[in-house]
Amino acid sequence: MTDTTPDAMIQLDRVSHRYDGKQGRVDALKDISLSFAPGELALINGPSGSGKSTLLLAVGAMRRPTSGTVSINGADLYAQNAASRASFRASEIGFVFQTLNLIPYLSAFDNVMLAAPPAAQKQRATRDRARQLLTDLGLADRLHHKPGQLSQGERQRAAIARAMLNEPKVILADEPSGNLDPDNAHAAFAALRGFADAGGTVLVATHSTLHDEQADRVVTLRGGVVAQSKEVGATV
Amino acid sequence: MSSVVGMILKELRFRPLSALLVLITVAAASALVVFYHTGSLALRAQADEAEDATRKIQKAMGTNLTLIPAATDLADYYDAGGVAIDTVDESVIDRLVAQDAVSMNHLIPMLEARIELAGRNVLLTGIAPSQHTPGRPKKKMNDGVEPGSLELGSAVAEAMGVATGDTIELLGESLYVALVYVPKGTAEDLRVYANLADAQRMLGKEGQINKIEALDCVSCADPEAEALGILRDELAVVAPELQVQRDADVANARVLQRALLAKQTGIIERFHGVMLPVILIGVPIAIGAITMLNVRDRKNEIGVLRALGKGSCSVGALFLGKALLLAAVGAAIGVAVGWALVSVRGPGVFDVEPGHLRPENGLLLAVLIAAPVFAVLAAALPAVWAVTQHPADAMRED
Repeated sequence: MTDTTPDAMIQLDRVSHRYDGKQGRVDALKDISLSFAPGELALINGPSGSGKSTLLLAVGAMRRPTSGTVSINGADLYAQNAASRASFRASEIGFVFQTLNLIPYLSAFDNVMLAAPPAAQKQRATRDRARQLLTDLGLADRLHHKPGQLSQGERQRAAIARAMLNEPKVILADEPSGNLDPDNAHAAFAALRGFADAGGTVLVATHSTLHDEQADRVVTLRGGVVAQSKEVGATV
Repeated sequence: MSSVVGMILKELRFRPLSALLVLITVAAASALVVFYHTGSLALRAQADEAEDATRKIQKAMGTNLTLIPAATDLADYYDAGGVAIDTVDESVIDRLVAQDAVSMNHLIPMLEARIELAGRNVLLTGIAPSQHTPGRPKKKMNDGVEPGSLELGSAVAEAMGVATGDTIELLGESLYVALVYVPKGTAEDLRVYANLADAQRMLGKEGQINKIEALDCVSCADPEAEALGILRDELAVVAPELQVQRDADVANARVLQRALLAKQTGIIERFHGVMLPVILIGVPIAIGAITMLNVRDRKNEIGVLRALGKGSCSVGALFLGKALLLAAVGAAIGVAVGWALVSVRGPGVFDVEPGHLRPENGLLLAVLIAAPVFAVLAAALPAVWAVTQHPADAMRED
C-alpha cells in the first residue's frame, strides 16, 4: 500500500523487514508505505506478530529495515550513522514502552530528566519543564517516588512525561495502556492526545480498539502488511 | 537527571547485594595481599637478619672446614698445636675458587707459625680476606688484616704492655697495633693476626700458606649428604696437595639455621606461588562474572537508555565506573583490614618479631591503584556486552 504526503512528519516508503530467526525467516513488514502528518495521533492495530512493534522500532531509528526508507521531518533516518541516529532519536523522538519503562532506582523526576541531553540536565528550565510535565500528568506529589512506589498508571504517565521532555516531534508508544485500568488508560491516552493536539505526531501500537475515538487514524496490520488505514478523527 | 556517578550510587543502593559481593571480594583480596606481602617482607627481613647473625656466629665460631697440606701428618699437626709444618703454594686458592665443582666457599688463606713473643708461645696467623668464586658475590666472612698492622689477643697485648694504636717490633718489622681483642679466656687471647703477605715475608715463606679455612656447601644443598667424603673426592681432583677436616658441630648448626630459614621462606613461596596467582586470576573472574550478571539484570535499563539516545560511553561508564568505585573502596577497606590483621595476627602467623612487620607504603599504594585497574579490566568485557545491546531489546517484539 502506498501512502505518501509531501508535508508528512513520518514517511515510510516501501519498508520491508525480515527477521532470520531459529524458526526460519519471518517477514515482519512487507513493502509498507505510510505517512503521518504533524498533529496526528495514529493507532497501529493488529494481532500479535502483525508487525506493530517492528514498525515502531523502524520509525524510532532502532531497527534498520531490510529495505525501504524511513524519514522523519524529511530526514532519512537510516542514511545517518549510528551516532547521528542516536542523537536524532534523543532530540526528535519520544518513547513510551509497554513495560519496564522507568529506571527502577531513579525517582520519577530523575527518570524524566534522563531524557534531557547532558548539557540541559542542570538547566533550571529543563528541570522546571520536567516538574511541570509530571504535575500536568497528575504526579505532582510523586516526583521523588521510585517506580516501585508508583502505581502502573503513574509509571506510565511518568514515561509519557519523559517522552515529552525534549519537545520531540514524534512520540512512539508501544501498548501504553497495556495493564492499565480504564481510568489510567484514558489518562495516558489523553496525555498523548494533548501532545498531538499541540502539533506532535503520535504512533501508538496497540491490540486494543478501546481508544479508537481518541485517535485520528487507525492503521491495521496483518501479517506485516497494512490491511486497513481508517481515518476516525477530525484532525486528518 | 543524575550524573553517571549519581546513577552509579543510586544503583548501588538499589542492588546492594552485587555491590557488596564485589566490595567483599576486592577487600578480601586486598587484605590478603597486604597481610601476606607484609608478612613476607617481615620474614625476609628476619631471614636476612638471621643470615647476618649466622654469619657473625660462624665468623666467631670459625669456619667448619680446615684444609692443610696433604703432606702434613695429622699427629704432627696436633702436636704442634694445630699448625702444619708443611706449606703449599698460595695459588691453590685461585684453583679452588675458580672451580664450581668444589663444594666450599669463603676460603680464607692463612700462614701460621708458633713464635715466642714477650716470653710467651704465641700463634702468629697471617691472614688474607676470604675468597669467593667469581660471579658469586658473598659478604666476606673475614676481611683479613691491613698490611703493616697487627691484631693482638688480649693476653699478648697485656704481656707486651701495648694497646691499640701502638707500634711494636715483630720478627724484625715495625707494625702498627690496629686492634686488641677483648679477653675471651681461650687460646684466642694468645694469638697475633697479621696481613698474610707480611707474615709470609716475616717468616721467610713468600707465596706459601699452610692452612685454608672455609665453609662447606655440601650440607646446604643436602643435609643428609656425606659431606667429608664428597669434599675429599673433589679435592683429589682440583687440589690433591691439600687434605680436609670438617667440624661437624659448626656444619650442623649451619644446616639447622638453613632449615629454619627454608621453613620461613616456604610461607613466602606458598603465597607468591599459590595465593597470589589465585587472587590475580580469581578476583578479576569474580568481578567479571558479577558485572556480567549485573548487565543481564539491567538489560531493559540499557535498552531504555539506548532508546533515549544515550551513547556507548554513557552506558559503558555505568558499569566501568561502578567497578572502579567499588574496587577503590574495597581496596581501601582491604588495606585497612589487611594492616589490622598484620598488626594483630602477623607475629603469630609468620613467627616474626612485631618490629619486622612494618607498613610498606609502596605496597599499600600498589594495592590501592592495582585493585581498581584490575576491576575495570575485569568489567570491560561485560561493559562491551552492555554497550552492544540493541536498543530494540527494551521494547516488546512481535
